[in-house]
Amino acid sequence: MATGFSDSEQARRDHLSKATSLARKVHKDAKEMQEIYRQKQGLSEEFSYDEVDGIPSSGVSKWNELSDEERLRANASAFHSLHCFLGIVLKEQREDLTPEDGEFHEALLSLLAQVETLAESTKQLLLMFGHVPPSNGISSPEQDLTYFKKKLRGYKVLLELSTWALRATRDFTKLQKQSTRITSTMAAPAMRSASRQKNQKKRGGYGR
Amino acid sequence: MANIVTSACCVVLAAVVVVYAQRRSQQGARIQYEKIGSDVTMQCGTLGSEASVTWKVNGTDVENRREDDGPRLALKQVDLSVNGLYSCFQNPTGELKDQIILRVGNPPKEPIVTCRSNTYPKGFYCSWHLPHPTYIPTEFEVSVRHGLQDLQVQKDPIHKNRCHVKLPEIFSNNKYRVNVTATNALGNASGFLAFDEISIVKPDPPEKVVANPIPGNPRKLEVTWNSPSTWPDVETFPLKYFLRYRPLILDTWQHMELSDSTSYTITDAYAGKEYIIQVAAKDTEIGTWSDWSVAIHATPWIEEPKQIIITTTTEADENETTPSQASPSAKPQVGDTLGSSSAALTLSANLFITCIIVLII
Repeated sequence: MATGFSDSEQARRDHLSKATSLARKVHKDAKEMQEIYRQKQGLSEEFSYDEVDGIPSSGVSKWNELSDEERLRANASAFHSLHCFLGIVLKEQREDLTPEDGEFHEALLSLLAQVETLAESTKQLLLMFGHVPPSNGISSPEQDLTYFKKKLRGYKVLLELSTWALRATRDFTKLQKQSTRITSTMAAPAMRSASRQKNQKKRGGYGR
Repeated sequence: MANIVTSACCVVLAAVVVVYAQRRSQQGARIQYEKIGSDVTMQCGTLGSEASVTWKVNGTDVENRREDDGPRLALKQVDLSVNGLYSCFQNPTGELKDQIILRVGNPPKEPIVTCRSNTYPKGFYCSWHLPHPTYIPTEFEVSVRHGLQDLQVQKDPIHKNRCHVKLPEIFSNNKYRVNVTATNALGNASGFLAFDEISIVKPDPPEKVVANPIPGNPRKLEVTWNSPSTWPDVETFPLKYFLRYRPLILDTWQHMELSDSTSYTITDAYAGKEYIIQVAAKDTEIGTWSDWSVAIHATPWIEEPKQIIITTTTEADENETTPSQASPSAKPQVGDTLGSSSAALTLSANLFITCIIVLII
């Protein structure tokens, strides 16, 4: 049975599928790291983290109305920025905040690698869908923070990373479903005309 | 027929008259709210301290009242039994001077608030209740805050202690804070709940769960269901499902988790046994599992018993070459040679039974 996918369409579907799984994993891992970080740094859940600037915020009011391009660009931009911030968080943990905690640094490093892959994946998807990736010229994060502000920022980075990864999971799922729907409606007319031809051949014999 | 209608009309009319009379007797009566356990003083209108009055509660004289209390009535450490309509009459004319409806109760304690989103990503609803009853009318005010924004709250048309809120945005890390203030004549109290958008997501249970046997398959049951109708967009926010089933005779459940599919075929059912089946739903990424759906019962397909041919032989029959054949519903016949006499026996037995039945009726 013909699936009706061209090679590029199939490649895109595979990539979408992989990106969805990765986004899902980053959401889960970032959420876990967020809680571990909060406990290690002794932060209260009641804190307002609004004072911490520059970190991309995942909250969006009309998510459903975004175009495919807007979705992918927002994700690509956010993951690139978060990758940058997470790198700084790791550096600050190593040098200042938890210098003895090698295991914690390893876990952060592993998460950092995943975020880098996710950022690349999203950029790749943009290109596959025929869009231009956002320019990565963001101002570098502030380095000279107080000890306490560094603590807060680290938590906020993990918080936003977790929700951005969730948002990306939803975005990619939506794109996957759209792609399935488009391909099945494309295939149907072809099948219909083929069966019509068959029926016509049959009916020909009855002199209709 | 006409009599019934007339009687019904009379009953209704009588009821209306009674209610009207009661209302009229309470007209001008004011309500006085007091705390349970407190000492209460009721004042008869604006009469001076020299006045002499008689108090009645719900039409009967008040017991144990001090004579020198003037226009006041004092009640100590009141409980719910003192509730009623108090009337005071000036002595000696017996003129009705005042009426007070005494209602005893408690100020509210901190309301307990719970919130849930079964319509994600559209919105959520919050419910609240008081840990202890107040016994007097109590009103509730609800406010919802999200970051720096105050959100609009809609009261539920049916449930008095419930309200609905639309989600202003999704994927937000700003907490929601729901404040409920309970107020009555004796005081007020506030309770609140703070939560993340995703922690309150819990769909309603799946609907229209149906289990059908599959002809020719004694160990299978085909189960189908629908996503909950309250879940607004199952395409973009797909649900995963959890199926559990067990034969009625056993206590342990079998479990099956399914992604994005609304059907499942059980293939390891015990043949001929009745099963109980339930399904639950959860968003694929966030939140908690729904409650279990209503339990349904089903039994796998059972092969129909084939026609059974029974042949019994007696000593007299042993030389018979043709076996006797009985219809499925008939009792086994005892050989052909005894056929006619056994037929007569059966006929008289039937007549006897019929006579008994007729006698009973």
